Amino acid sequence: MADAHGTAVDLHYGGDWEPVPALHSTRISITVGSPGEGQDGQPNRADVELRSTNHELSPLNPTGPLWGLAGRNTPVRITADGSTRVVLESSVWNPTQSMGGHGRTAMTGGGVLRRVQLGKSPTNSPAYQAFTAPVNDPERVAYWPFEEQAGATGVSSPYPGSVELGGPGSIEFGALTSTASARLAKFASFDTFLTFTLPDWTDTLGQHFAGSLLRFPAAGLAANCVIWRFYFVGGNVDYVDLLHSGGEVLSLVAYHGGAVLDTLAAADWTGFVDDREVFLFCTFEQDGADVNVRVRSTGSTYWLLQSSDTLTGRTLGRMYKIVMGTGAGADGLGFGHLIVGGNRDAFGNFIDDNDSDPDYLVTGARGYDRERAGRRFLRLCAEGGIPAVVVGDPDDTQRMGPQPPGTRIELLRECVVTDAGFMHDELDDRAVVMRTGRSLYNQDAVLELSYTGSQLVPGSAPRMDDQATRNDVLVRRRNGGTARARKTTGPLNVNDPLDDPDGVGPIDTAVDVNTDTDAVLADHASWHLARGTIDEPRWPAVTVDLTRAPALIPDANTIRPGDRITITDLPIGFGVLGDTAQLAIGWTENLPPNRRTMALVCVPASPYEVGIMGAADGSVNLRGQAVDTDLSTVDTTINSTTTTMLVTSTGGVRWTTDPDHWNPALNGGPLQLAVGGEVMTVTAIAGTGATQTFTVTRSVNGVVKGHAAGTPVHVRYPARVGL
Amino acid sequence: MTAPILAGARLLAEDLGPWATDILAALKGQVLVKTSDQTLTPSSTTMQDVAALQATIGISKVSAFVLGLHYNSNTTADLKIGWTFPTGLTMKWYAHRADTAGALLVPGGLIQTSVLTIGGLAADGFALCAGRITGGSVAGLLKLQAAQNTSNASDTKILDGSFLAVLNAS
Repeated sequence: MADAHGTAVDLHYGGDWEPVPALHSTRISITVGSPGEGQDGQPNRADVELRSTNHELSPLNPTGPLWGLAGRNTPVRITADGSTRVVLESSVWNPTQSMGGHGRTAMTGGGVLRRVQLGKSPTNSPAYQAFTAPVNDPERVAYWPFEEQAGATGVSSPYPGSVELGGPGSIEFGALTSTASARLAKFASFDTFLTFTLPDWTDTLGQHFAGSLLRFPAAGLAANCVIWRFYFVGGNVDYVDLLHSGGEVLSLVAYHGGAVLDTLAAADWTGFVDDREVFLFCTFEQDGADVNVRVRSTGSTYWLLQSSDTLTGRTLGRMYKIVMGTGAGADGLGFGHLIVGGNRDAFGNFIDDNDSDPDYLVTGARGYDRERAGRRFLRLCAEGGIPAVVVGDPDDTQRMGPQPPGTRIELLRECVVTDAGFMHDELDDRAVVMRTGRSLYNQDAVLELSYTGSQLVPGSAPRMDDQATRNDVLVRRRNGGTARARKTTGPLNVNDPLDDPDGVGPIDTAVDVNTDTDAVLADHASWHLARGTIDEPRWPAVTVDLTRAPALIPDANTIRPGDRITITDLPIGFGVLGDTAQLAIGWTENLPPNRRTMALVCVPASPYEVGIMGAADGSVNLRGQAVDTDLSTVDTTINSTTTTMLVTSTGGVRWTTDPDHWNPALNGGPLQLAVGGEVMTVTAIAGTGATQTFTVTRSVNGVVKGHAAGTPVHVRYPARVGL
Repeated sequence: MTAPILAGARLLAEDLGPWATDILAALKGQVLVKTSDQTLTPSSTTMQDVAALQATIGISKVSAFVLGLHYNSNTTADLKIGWTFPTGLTMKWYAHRADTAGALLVPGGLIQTSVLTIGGLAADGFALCAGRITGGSVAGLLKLQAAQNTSNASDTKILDGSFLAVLNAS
C-alpha cells in the first residue's frame, strides 16, 4: 500500500510481524493516554478500517489469508513515517457488508491496560503472593494461608498436606485484620489445637524452615503455651516445641523419648511480642553431628530479631507434622500463612528488605508499608504477569502505606495517584506505563511549535474556562488523616466573583492517596491546589498537521504522554505572554490515506517548573526560574517605551542587585519579569531600599503598553516547590 | 514557626526569609545555658527544677543531648540530679561524674527516671552527661532537676555556665 506517510498495519502471527495481506487502504484513528486534564489515562486504542474487495481481511473468512492466524487480541502494530505509533491487541474484529456489496473489516485494537481494567478479581495478599511465588516452588513443602472469611467451615491450601482441628474449642476465621494478609484466623479458646500433616518430601539440604504470621493478644498468651510442636522422623529428636514460657519469652525445647533434651534459643522479646503482628519462624539445620536452631521474627517495627543455639550430638531427621496451640493453649492468638520449607534461607521475597534506602524497611511481612510508588507499580505488574515500564526513577517516587486489598487496576491507580503521576499504555510495546510525578518536572520541550508556522490545524486555540479549576482540595489518606487546601486569595480563588474579581466560586475535589504518613498530606493537597488554580488558559486540543509540516515529524515521532511541548508566536489575544509550555498528556492521531495529524491533549506545564538550586558560578541552567514575590509593584506610572522602572516592595522584600542574576550568559539565561501582561528582560537593578530602580528591555513578548503605579511585578518563571 | 512552604507553592521571597530562619533554628537545636548560680534548697533532698535548663521536646522527636553541669557542693551533701518529662518520653544516657569520694565514674544505662548521684568536692566540680531523647505522645518540657543527695545545711549550687544542648535528630 503506497501512502505519503508510509502508514502500515502489521499483525503478529507465525512468530513474526506480518503486513496485513490484500490490503487496499486503511483509515486509522489512534488515541493515546489521557482524554483530558484530570482524567485517568485510558487504554490506547486504534480504530482501523481495513479495505479489501471481498472480506479477505476478516479472520472469520475460511478462505481468507487471516483464517486461523489472527483473531481476538492478536498483536497489531501501526507504523507511520518510519515510527511505530502503537502496538496493541486486536480486541474487536467487525466485518461489514456495504450496500454495494463490498466487504470491509473494521478492527479495534486496545492496549494492555484494557485487559487489566477488565480484571475484577482482587489481588492476592502480600503474604499469599510471596509464598506462592514460583521462585519458592523448589523450597516450599507445605502452605496453609488461613485467609478464609468469617463463617468458613474448612481450611484450604493450594498445595498438598492436611490440617485437622483438635479439642472441643474452635477456630475463628477472618477474626483479625492484617497488613500482610487478607485476614487472620484466631484461636477462640484455650482447648483447641491444629494438627498439620506435611506431604511426603525429601529433605535434601538437611534444613527446615517453618513459620507463620502471628498476632499475639494484648494481654499475652498463657504461660507454657506451645505455639508450635514440630515432629521429626528419621533421627533421634522426636519433636521440638516453640514454647511461650511466660511474659514475652519464647524458647525452643527439644524432646526425645518423652524427656527434654535441651532448652534452646531462649528469647526475651519483651515489647516485641504482645499486641503485635509478627512473622515468626524457626529454622533447623543439620550441621555435622549437631543441629543448629534459630527462632526469628520480623514485624511492623523492626527487622530482624533472632536467637540461635545448637543442639549437640543429635540428628534431626525430617519434619512431618506440626501441632499448633497445644500445651496451655493459644487462646486469643491470631495466625495465618503457616509455611514450611526445606531451605533455612527460603522465602526471602517475604522477609527481606527490598528498599535501597537503609533508613527504610520494606518487606512483604509488613504489607510493603513505605514502599515507593514506582516500585509497587512494577511489583504489582510483575505479580500479575503484566509487562510494565516506569518512566522516571521508580526510586524517586512517593512512599506508600501498606498494600490494601483490591483489584490490580485499583492498586495500580492508587500508585499513580499517590505519586501524582499517571498511567497509560506503552506506545511501541504491549506494556503498562507509570509516568512518575517527578518525571514531569522541568522537562525540555520534545516538540516546539510555532503558531504562525502553518503547523497547527485551524481551531487550535486556548480556552479560558473553569473546566480544570479546583480551588478547594481535600486529600484523604487510606486508613489515615486528611488535609485540605483552599485558595482564598489570588487568581481563581474560592470567593464569589461578585465580591472578588479574582474569585470564581468554590470548585472542590477530593483526592484519595495511600501515603505512608499523614505528614505529607498538606503537601499533596497544596500540590493539587496549585495544579487546579493555574491562571493560564487551557489547550485541550493542539492539532499538529504533520502533512503540512513534515519537518516536525522526527520530533512528533518521539513524543510520549506527559512530554513537554511549546507553542510560540501566539496572538496577543491568547494572553499567555507570547508563548506557552504544555504537557501533552494524550492525543488522537488520525491517519486517513496520505494524511497525518496529531491532536494533542494538553495541560499547563508551569506547575511542573520546580525550583532548581543554582550554583555560585552560574553554571546551572535555571530554565529562567527565579524566586517570585507578591509584594512588589510598579512605583511610578511608566509609558510603553521607557526602559527605567521604579519598583517598590513591602514586607522587607528586596530584589537582587547582583549582576550575575540577570547576566544572560549565566544560569541558563536572563532574568525576565511579567508586568501587566508585558514581558521585560532585566539589564540592571540598583538601590537597596524599598524602592529600587530597574533597567529593562521592553516588550519582549510583543506587548507594548504602559503600566500604572501599583501594577504587580512578578518574575516571568516563578520557581515552585515540588511534591 | 512560620507557615510551611508546601508543594506546588511558588517560592516567594517573603516566605523564604522566615523559613530559612526557622530552618537554621531547627538545625541548631536548643542550647540552654545558665547565666547565674542557683542555690538549691539547703537541708532538703527534694528534687527541684534547675532554672534555664529546660528543653522543649516534640512528639516522637528524637534528639541527642549533652548536659554540662557545673556545680559546687560539700562532701556531705553531695548532689543528685534527675529529670521530669512529658508523658511517654524516654531517655538513654550516661555520665562522667565524680563519685562521693571524688573518683571519676562513668555510669551507663541510665534512663529518664534514673537519679544520678554526684560527689560533692567542697569545690567547683563538673559533670558531663550525654544521651538520646525520644519524645513521647505529647510535646512538653524536659526539665533538669537537682537536690542535695544528703540533707545538709550547707549550700549546694548549680553554677553559672552549666548548659543543656539538645540537638534534633529527627
